[in-house]
Amino acid sequence: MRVLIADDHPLFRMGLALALGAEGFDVAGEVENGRQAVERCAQGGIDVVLMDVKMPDMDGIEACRQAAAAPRAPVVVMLTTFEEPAIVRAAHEAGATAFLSKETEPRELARLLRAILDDPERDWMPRVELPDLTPREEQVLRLMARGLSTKAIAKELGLSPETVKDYLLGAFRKLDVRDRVSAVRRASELGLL
Amino acid sequence: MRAPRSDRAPSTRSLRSQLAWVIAVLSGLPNLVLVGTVLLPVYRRTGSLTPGVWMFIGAWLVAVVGISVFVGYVLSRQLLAPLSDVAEDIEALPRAVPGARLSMSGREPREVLAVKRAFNAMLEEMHQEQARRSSFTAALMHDLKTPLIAANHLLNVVRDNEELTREQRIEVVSRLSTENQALIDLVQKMVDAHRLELEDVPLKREASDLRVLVAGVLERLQPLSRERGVDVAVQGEARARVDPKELERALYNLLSNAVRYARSRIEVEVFPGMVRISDDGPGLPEPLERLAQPFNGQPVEIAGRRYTAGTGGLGLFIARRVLEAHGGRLVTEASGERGTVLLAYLGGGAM
Repeated sequence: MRVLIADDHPLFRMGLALALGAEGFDVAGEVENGRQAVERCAQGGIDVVLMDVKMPDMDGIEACRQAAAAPRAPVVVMLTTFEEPAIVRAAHEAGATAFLSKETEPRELARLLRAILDDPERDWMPRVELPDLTPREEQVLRLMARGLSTKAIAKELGLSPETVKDYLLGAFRKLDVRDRVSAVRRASELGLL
Repeated sequence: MRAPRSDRAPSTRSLRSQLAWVIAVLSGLPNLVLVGTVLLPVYRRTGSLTPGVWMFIGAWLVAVVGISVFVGYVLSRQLLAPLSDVAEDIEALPRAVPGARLSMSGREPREVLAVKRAFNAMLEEMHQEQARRSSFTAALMHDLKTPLIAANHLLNVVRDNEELTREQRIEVVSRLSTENQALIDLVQKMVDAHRLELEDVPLKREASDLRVLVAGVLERLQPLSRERGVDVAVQGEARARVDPKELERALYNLLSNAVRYARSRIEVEVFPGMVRISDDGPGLPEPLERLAQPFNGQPVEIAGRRYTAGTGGLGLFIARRVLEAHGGRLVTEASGERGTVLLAYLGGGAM
């Protein structure tokens, strides 16, 4: 199985290459940014790309989008320290097959890679649980994230401040937060804003 | 983030009651003067006033005082209404939410608009600073975590893989040690930046040879320049009254950036009162003024979220602050595809 490692950190590439080599993988290439990853994939002969998210020149999400859209596209596995749901979602939309943490032990990583390559059609992406917000709750949350006070939101939507407060409390409960700031943070992490 | 009530000093007089009294006095005074000017000639002429007149005067005065107080009460409330509205708006504003700002209807008095504008500007600044720091923290976590995880992988390989040759083993360990040094450097930069952000740099100036300082820094950077295949050239001689330790710190940060980003060559020229550093790297990604901020770096956006591209801005900030403490400054002479030229002016330290 031919693996391409795309990561801007030379030591990480070296560690991973040695570890995967010891697990019987053929590390067919190492690149340090997204653009090089796309170019290397286009040359063919790669079964799976281990793609970092944050890289100079072109980030891993964009590189994944381009690599996965090309003919004879390899399987793209995101391997990253990020775990924000918004990034997982973006990777999913870009066509990534799996999303793994860099902390995964090499042996476990090798096992997972084999399983993923055996059945690349299966949904390997982590579940991003999106809270079930009503359209009104989402609308009120968006206005709040723009910095409007309850009174101002009420005026904007033609509702009473009490009703707005109810929507906000509903949204807080679903987002599992207790105040406005955490609500905005959580909603933006989930890519809701 | 509601301000605790106890912040309000108990002796604070209300602006509204003061205004009410001023209005009451101003509206009552003419009436008293009127009463005086009408009655005084009568009193002078007759020598006395009938009880009926006294009663009329009393009632008139009571009415005047009452009306004046009422007018003061109503007018002061009306005049200060925009101010109380602002206070209420500020209280109701979700201040910690990024993007929060007071709305301006345009009907408010000029002074209140000015207060609102100043408040919004302050809030904006605060949020920008907060956003900058949080994207820096995200980048920092990434920059610290990745090499540590990588080191762990490598250590496991060295432990478990008996087929590694002696050369491979040495290569792995020396890479680990280089990376460790880079991490120590990063942490040291954080410590320096934190210190320089909070306080002025106290200097212990002494007559120093700038050329020797530059050469010392370049020697420390030799493993990096050798690894990157970067040629280093030094020219010029000069002495200056500087704090050698602090200046070395500034030069280390500037020169390590130059070595890190140069394609093939860096040049250091030492002049009296100034060190000129040029590299043939890709140029600065943003103006120096923006880059040399604490905890700021080149921003990148991934999936709609902002991150700092790296922790590189720290070094420039440290250098800038040290030079400023010497009475000098850090200036870009050129930055573009052909490279970057930075001028480190030492200010009053020249000899």
